[in-house]
Amino acid sequence: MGLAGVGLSLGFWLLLVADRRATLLATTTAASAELRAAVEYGLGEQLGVLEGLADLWKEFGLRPLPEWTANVDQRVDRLPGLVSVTWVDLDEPQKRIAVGRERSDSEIELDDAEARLHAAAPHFTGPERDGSGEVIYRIFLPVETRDERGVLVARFQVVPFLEAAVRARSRGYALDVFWDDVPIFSRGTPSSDPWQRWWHVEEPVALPMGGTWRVAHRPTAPYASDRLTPTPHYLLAAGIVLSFVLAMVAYQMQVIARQASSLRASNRSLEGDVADRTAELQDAVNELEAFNYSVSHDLRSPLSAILNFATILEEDYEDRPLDEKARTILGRIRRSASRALQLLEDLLRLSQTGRTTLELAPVDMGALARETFAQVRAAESDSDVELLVDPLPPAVGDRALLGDVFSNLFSNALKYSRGCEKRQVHVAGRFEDGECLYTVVDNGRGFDMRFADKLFALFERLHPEADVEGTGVGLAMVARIVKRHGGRVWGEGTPGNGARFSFTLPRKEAP
Amino acid sequence: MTRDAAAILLVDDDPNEVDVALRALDRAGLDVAVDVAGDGLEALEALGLEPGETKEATPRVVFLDLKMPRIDGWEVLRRMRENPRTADIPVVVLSTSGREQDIARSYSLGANSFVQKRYDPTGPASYFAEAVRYWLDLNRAPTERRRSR
Repeated sequence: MGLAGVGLSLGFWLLLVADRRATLLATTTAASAELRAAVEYGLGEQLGVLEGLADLWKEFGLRPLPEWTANVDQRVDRLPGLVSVTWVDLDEPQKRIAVGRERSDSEIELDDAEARLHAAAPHFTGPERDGSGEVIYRIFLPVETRDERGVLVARFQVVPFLEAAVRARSRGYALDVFWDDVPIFSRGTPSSDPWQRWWHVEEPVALPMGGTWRVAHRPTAPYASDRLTPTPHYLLAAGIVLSFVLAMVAYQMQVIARQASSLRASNRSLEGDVADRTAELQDAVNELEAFNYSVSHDLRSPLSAILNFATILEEDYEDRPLDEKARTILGRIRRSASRALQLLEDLLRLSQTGRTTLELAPVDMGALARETFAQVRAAESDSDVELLVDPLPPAVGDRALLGDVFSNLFSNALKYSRGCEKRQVHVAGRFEDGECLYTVVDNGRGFDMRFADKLFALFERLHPEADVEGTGVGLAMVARIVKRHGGRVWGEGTPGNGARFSFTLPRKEAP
Repeated sequence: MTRDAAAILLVDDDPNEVDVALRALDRAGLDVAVDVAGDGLEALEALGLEPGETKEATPRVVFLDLKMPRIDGWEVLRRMRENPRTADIPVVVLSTSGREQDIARSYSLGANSFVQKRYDPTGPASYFAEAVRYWLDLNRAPTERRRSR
């Protein structure tokens, strides 16, 4: 991703650079063409001036000389680069008239052949260096009148001419002018840009009298950089930095994705572990359940058999009376078996309260208390007992299990008040500290608070078995049910003065 | 008490239970012919539901224990309901189990009643005598059994 980003920015950058360079090349080409036109025009003008002088000469002759020289001087001043014009008599080459800034052009050497050649047509010579090292060229223009046969030789300095030609043009460009590969003019330093060849433009300038100049036109460093800046280097840098950042982000994302997938994997394996454990637990629960079932089935049958046969023995020997001792023993057998059976039933009920899932629903506790009390009292031989139920806060819980709570508390209340005067069970309740508090009070024989911690323990009883029947499971079951509902349970009592059992249920909204 | 004429088929693997049950019928003054099967397989044989079996007892009611060696009560129940000849015979399940799922399964397999065996303070197995009286004296079944469904 980062690499792609770098590639993209590089490509974009190259495009931009190429575009800028192409633009520069175009402007350079245009400037070069303009310059060529200017140079060609300048050269044409030079020839034109000379031809004018020649016409003047033909018409009026060289005399009167001062007038002619003045005319020449005037023109020389107007033509940049023109240094001198010399009239040379072709019949007597030593006979010369020189005008212009330098009043002589002693360097002109003309032999006959040359003279004849020069007589044919206007002609350029050069480049050459004069005495002061200036690059010069000459234009030879033969003129023939009735009396004289001569040649006008104009000497030009290349540099001033070209300076004038390029002045105000081609600013920002380096120029090199070559005449047959000889450098005759140079101005400015071309840009050292490694790609400067891209915008190196050469224009041939056809000289009016034959020969060619080559004008090499190249942007100067400041001009080029001016045209090329703001260069897109910043863009490239920004692109690369951005790509780097993107690459980092992508890498981080990859790392995060990898971590997430490894987390998921470990999660899956954890889930697998949990599933395994759950399955193991479920197996254990199933085993326990199977065990319970066997116990209930296999233990119940022989216990029932003992009970039944003890009964049958008593019945069958009605007419053949057993002695007192035998009857006592039979009674003990029956009572023991009966108690064992009861214990078994209670244990199964207790284990069921722990196993079934709570089915939470709003419960009218007052109605539940009255309903349960009626059932408990129906099983009681001495049903002379009064029930008082105060208005109770409604609860949210498992109605069947809460019924078991009341059932156990009521049957305890009845059991331990048997034989008392004016038996009464009072159910009260209120909201307290965000909980619902319920209290079952009886006026039975009560219990000693020293043993209160044993009340809710399994198989613990505070009274001798002979006094009150019971298995020690009831309150353990109450405690278990209340705990499963998230509540607390406790008992208070005084021997001979009744017992008071309280339990709380968390105050909840109906599910 | 001839085998074919038996009004009741009592299926239980515990001889004690059988003795107590039969005695309860005596004590209740019910003179009923009872066929006894010691487990599920014997019950299926008595009902003529085993291959190659020639006996074809059609009791008026079957009392069926659930947990038995070899073939259990539910299997007997299922096989009885499969066969048109025995499909309509009332079946009373007698079990020490009081588990909800056992009761539900018995009914879904076609039991007509479920009685939990327990110590009966009014007399040994007097619930059995009561159930027999109900099914033989009070309950009406079609006299012509459907031969096919």
